[in-house]
Amino acid sequence: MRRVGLRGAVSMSFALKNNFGSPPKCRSVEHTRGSPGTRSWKFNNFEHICCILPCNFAGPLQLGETNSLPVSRPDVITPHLAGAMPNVITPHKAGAMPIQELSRKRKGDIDNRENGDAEMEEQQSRSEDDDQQVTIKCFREPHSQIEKRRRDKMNILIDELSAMIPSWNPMAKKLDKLTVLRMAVQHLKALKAGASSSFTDFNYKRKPSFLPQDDLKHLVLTAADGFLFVVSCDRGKILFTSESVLKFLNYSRLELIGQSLFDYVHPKDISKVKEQLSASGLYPRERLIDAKTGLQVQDLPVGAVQLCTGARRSFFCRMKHSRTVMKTEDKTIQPSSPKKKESQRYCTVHCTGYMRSWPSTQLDAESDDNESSHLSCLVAVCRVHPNDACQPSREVKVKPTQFVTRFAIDGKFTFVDQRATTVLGYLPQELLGTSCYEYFHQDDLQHLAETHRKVLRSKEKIETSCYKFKTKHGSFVMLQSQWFSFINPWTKEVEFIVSTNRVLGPGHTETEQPSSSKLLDEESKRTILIPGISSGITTMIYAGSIGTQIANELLDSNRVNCSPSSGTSSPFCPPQDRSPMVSSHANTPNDEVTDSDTVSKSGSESASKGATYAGSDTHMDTARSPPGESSQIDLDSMVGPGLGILSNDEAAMAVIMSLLETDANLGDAVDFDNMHWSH
Amino acid sequence: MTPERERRRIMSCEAARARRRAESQVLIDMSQLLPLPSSLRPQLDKPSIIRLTISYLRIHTLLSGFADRQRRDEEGERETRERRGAGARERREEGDRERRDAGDRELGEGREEQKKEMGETDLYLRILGGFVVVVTTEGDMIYLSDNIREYMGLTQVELMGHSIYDFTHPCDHKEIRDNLDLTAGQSGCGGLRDFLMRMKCTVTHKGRTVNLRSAGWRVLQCRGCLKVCVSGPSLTCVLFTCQPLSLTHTLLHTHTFTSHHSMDMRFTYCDQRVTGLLSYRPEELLGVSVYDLCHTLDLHTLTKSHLNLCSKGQSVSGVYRVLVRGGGYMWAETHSAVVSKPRPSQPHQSKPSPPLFVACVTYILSGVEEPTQLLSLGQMN
Repeated sequence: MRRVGLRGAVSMSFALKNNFGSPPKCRSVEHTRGSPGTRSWKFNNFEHICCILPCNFAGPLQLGETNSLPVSRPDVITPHLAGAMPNVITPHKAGAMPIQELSRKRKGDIDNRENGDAEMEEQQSRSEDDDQQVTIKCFREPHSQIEKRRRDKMNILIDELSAMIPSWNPMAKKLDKLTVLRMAVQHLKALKAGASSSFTDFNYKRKPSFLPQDDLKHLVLTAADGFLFVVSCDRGKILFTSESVLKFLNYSRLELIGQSLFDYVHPKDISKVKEQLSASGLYPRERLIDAKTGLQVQDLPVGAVQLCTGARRSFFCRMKHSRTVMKTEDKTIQPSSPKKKESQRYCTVHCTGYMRSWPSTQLDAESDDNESSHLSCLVAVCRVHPNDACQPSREVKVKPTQFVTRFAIDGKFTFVDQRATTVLGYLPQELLGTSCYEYFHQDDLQHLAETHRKVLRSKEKIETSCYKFKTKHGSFVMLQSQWFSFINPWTKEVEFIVSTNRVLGPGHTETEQPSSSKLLDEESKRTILIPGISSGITTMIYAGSIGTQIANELLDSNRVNCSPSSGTSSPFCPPQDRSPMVSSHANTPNDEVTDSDTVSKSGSESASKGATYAGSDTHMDTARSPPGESSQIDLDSMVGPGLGILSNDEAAMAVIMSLLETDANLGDAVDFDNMHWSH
Repeated sequence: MTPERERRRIMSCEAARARRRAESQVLIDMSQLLPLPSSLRPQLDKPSIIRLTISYLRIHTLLSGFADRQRRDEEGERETRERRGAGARERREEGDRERRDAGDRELGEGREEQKKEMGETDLYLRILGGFVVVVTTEGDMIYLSDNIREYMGLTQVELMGHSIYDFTHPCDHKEIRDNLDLTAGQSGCGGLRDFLMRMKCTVTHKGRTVNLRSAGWRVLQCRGCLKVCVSGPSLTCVLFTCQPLSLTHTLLHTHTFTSHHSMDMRFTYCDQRVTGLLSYRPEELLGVSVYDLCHTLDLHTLTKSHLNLCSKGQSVSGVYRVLVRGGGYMWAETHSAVVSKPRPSQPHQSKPSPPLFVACVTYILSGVEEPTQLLSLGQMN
């Protein structure tokens, strides 16, 4: 009975194999061949996994897979499998792990068999005389299957190969394998003859590289999509640039060589570049890093006497881009060049490279200072920053009639695009910190509040219908906005709302002004008509607090979902903070109601708003600090004493050290390795 | 079993053997023709030989395509240059040869001992601080520079001809596929590609090499461009450089500052240099989100970087505008990495250790632009 169950389990492992195992890929020898020791370890491990498999493996996966079992002995496998099934269906989350592990192990086994199947068989039969293991052996994937797969793979490869051979008649019937191979050999020979120079290269004979040197060089520069330069460290003289500099900076190579790099760097970046060119010996920080990285140190030339040699550099700087077409003769070709001359343009380049020293005699033959036998230089490849190249197109995205604003979740402006000024008349600082509801027309409040509420709960962008926004001059401008809430990718909480606002119709403000002022008059009349000024005040208080109300709704709903401790401080503090702000706003409606002299009023209005900044600012802080604070406390407790206490350099060092630990996330690999040895 | 049948069986056996022998001979010839170190040749099995041959032919096709185009370009260029003047003409006379030798002449001409120590292309590859990969749009890696070994532990011969999907993190496959896609517009940046992927790495950070099966993942920044080669068998490839994202070689100069963030990107620490650059005091940044510091139009850039950080553990932000206190903004780029709790040497912990914080190095790329312009609440005092 026990044996039957096991059979089921093992045969299912084949199903798994078919399910998870990708078609076997050829691997190079280093991995396909292993020592007998590792092989037996693998086998033992495999057996182990098989035994534990039935209890923690997600059954339903396999129900449809029975047909695809290797069908060498269907009579044996399927019935047992069916019998094993009921025991096996125990949906267990942990099941996924062993399965994958298993399929991986199995794949490895198959790869092994390609090389030394017989040997392995022998090994197994020697090491296992136990009944169970013999059973397992019987259920190993049949040889014919493996062979078939191997053949299939070869055929695919040969097909691919035949596609690469320049055939005289591509439509001809499929060539047989041997012919394809022979033709490939011929083709290779032809290629070799064609490129004889690179093949007979002395470098090639010594240490053949897959590609001829200059091809590779070309490939590197194409892939990097940048240009190369060598600059001497002491004076910043450009010793070499690749020709591709023409493409990026529009200077010819000859123009640059021998010149000082600093003439081509943005004046404000000169100090930055100088710093990078200075010997790293001055920066113990950096030397330490190199000493610790392990990976980085490997490519340092051994026994480098110069401390700076091999030290890596990675920095950004702005370099001059010549718009003019170089020489004077060109004016005839490009009549527009005088105009272009004025627009001195810089592009941001990212330079990566390392320090290197050359005997100065070779490099700098005409150089007068021969007292130092070695000249240290920076060898770097510069890539024009891709985003920089796209910059114009990015700017275009926002049309001139559009502007971007950002609200806190309670509707207060926290970011205002400068274009808003031309549309609305307010300076950003006048808007910042005030609630957007103060500027909405009363008729739209309902709709906008609804949209606000919706956008806080939605991940989608939501389009408002068109609404009226009060400009600085008291008139209204028709806007339509697209709102979306920015959700922090980590906390999944809404941080703020981004609004892209579109002015409906160009010049709308001007044409609309008379009518809107009329409308405003009507409005003011209406507010006057309502008995008592207090009603006017209440509407304004209402307008300002709509946002906070909506925000509180969200916070409340969040608090319900979250732990009670995190929310305790936030709901009570903001209202307290808000009360002075509300009272200060109570003055503004009076200004509006009278509405006689807009200029002076707007001045006082902005002043009163200025008074609110402080209040709203602190409010924002209190609203935000609880999550920030708590996380900070957590971090401190985990990191230990706050890094702020440390000196500047120590802190920087700490950052680097911590980065080193994360580098490559290789912890796993080490652990695995250890395990191999311990077994 | 008749003797006739037996005879036929033997005959077919014989024929098959002969066929196999011929095949092996051809394959041996083929391997001889491949530019590989002779020590490696006997180790290659048949599929590997074919795989490498295919890669070799493909990269050759690609390069000859380049050469053709370049020649055309150069000819066009030469024409324009010839009109330009004596200096240029003189230089041009050397033609192609000059192009080939350009590096040699300037970079260490005739210095054999240097060459022995470090070949010319090693220099190019070392400057990159990474390796070069050529991938077809189907995902076959047709070429990898041999210095991949330094970074990933895997060798050129091992990887060439294989699919990139076999050696990269499954979660990144979609992104890779998108980047290999010919039609992917990439927001109008032409054929430029810039993305992060995790690749198998068999070198531990202690420098030890482990088995491929227990390989870890290493985050690589891949930047490159799309190349279409139409001559002969059409071949579309993406050429890119892969650079491990280690900030360790960064020389912390005056235009950078380091900071720590909680996982939601709020500052938990910031070094003093930020004051000189952005005018914020480190202590007033504590608890402030980086999203509050950036220009709203660059929100997407930062979100993408943050997502990369969450999923891959390291990221490069790309260029964005960081708001300066008191008005204006500066262009910046941030390189960041998640720092996890150093795991106790406990093997078989499949789940990653909990993240502690995010460490960032921010490079300031420009001066203050539009210094009078206040944009956000955070810029005001």
